[in-house]
Amino acid sequence: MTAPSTPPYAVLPFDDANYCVALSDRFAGRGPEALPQPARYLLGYLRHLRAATIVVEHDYTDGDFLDDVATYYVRSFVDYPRRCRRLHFFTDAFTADTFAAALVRRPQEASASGGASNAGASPVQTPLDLQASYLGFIVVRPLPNAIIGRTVLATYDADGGRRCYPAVKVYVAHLFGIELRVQSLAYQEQDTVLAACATVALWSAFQKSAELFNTISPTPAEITRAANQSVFDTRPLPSRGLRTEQMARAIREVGLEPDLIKCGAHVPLLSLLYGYLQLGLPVIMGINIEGKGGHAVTVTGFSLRPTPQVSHEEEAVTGAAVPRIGLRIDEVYVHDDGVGPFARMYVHSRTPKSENESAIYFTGQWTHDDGTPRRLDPRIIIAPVYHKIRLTSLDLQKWVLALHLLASASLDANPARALEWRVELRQANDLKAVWRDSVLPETERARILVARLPRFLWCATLTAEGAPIMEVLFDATGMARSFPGVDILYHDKTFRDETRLVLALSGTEQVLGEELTEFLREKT
Amino acid sequence: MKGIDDRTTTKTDVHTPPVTTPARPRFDPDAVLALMSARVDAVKEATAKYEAASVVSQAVLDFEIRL
Repeated sequence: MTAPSTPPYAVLPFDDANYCVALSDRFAGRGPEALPQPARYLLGYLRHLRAATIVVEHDYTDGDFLDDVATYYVRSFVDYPRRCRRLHFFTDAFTADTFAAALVRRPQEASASGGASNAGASPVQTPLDLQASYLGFIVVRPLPNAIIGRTVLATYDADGGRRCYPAVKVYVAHLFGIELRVQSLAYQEQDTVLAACATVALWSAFQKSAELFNTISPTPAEITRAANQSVFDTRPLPSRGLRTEQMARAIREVGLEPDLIKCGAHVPLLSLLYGYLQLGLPVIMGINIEGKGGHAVTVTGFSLRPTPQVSHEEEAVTGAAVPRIGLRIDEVYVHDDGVGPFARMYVHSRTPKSENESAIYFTGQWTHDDGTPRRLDPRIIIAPVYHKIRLTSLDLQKWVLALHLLASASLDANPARALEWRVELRQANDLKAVWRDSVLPETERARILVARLPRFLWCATLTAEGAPIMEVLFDATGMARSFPGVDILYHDKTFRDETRLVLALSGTEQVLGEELTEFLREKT
Repeated sequence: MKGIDDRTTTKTDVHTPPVTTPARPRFDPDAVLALMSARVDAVKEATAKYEAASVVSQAVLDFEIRL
């Protein structure tokens, strides 16, 4: 067996020049401006994460790209290599020598020395230290374009708690026998052959839904194939994009159901996104980019401020506006294959011109030639949910409206208390962990912790000045037509007592509806 | 225990200690019911709009994502 001509790895200090070389020799000496957009975005992203060292794994087999090769590239006239490079990034600075020492050091030697290194060497010599400074990896595909393959990088920091990334998971990378973990959601650039933006948006979402619901996580080629099983008017490969209907088909193929919502004037878009993300579920958003056309991104997180950032997120009926948590969201973070992972989209509100226009639009890194931002109009959101989750976020709104009618009328006596509703999809066991640790009265905790609950719940929480007043639980596996209320947790005893007085009056049923009134009387 | 704005990179515990309620006027359930009754038509109108919003048209299914 002949020795490979390329060494198995290289260790480089992180800077613009080395990043370009590490991506591909053809970018050597050309500077970051020569890089395609996602690669350029990732350079800025890694600078922000304070990357200090790159370890280049020269010969890496990526399962997703291998499937792309087997499906398409291997049958091309041009020879495409099937192996990739993988670039690992670390916040600590270290040399090739110290990395080589860390590779062969036995774990017990590392712990015996307390993680300390040899005299004069960098402290980053043990697997444990490499883990502490690990930022994740980028797979570089051996293609002429679309070189950014599976990319798993740490999120931005929480910035005092405002940045939230609920839809991430733990990835394990094996680097020459060293196990390295990073919390992220995988991203990749579309290659416009086997995957367009809609395909890679689905691919990212399936990475997390597979963990949540024990479903499969298909490759881009498999997603494109599945999506094209129902619509035949264009050839599937090379892929030039998908319609909403095809995305829904691809979701069903992995054993999930698409919760499809059109972003019209009366849809509280930001609060809906929040509700699905709280389960840890990424949401696919179809947007129209001003002057360009339809695009898909995967929503992975948001920035939540202490006070409202927009005046409204839906066109509410006068007298029936519900204050929701979405008003405090000023940015959403998306995997946009045309930009990069965890890309910011800034939130703006407006008066919709029609029933089909959302009260929210976004701006981000998509710009006109003169550098001004293009408007990003949300058109649809699709949440790939477990098939037993039958109740949608929109189904709940009529009960939230009625509950707010009751709460706002009762609490109007004290106008200083700013009310807010948040409606979130949660797993019962996650909620029980929260309740166990909460300030609910002990008797209430004892009751709810042993209660038999469905696996998935919609939890509608009312807060006043940030403190919870009540939580109303709905069976997410139930049906909208048969009232799916499960339980109520009252955090505010005064509100509970006053609600009892209102519910005792005849005529409440005519206002709140018989089902909801009966439920409230039973649980209050 | 984390407050609502102490979120980091995962799902969060959003429970915070109960609010300290300032002194309130005497509670009048009849007045509350009257206030609710006055707003009920608006709530019914809003409910109808949510129900209409949940209907997915063919135009939505045909939205093309090509970029």
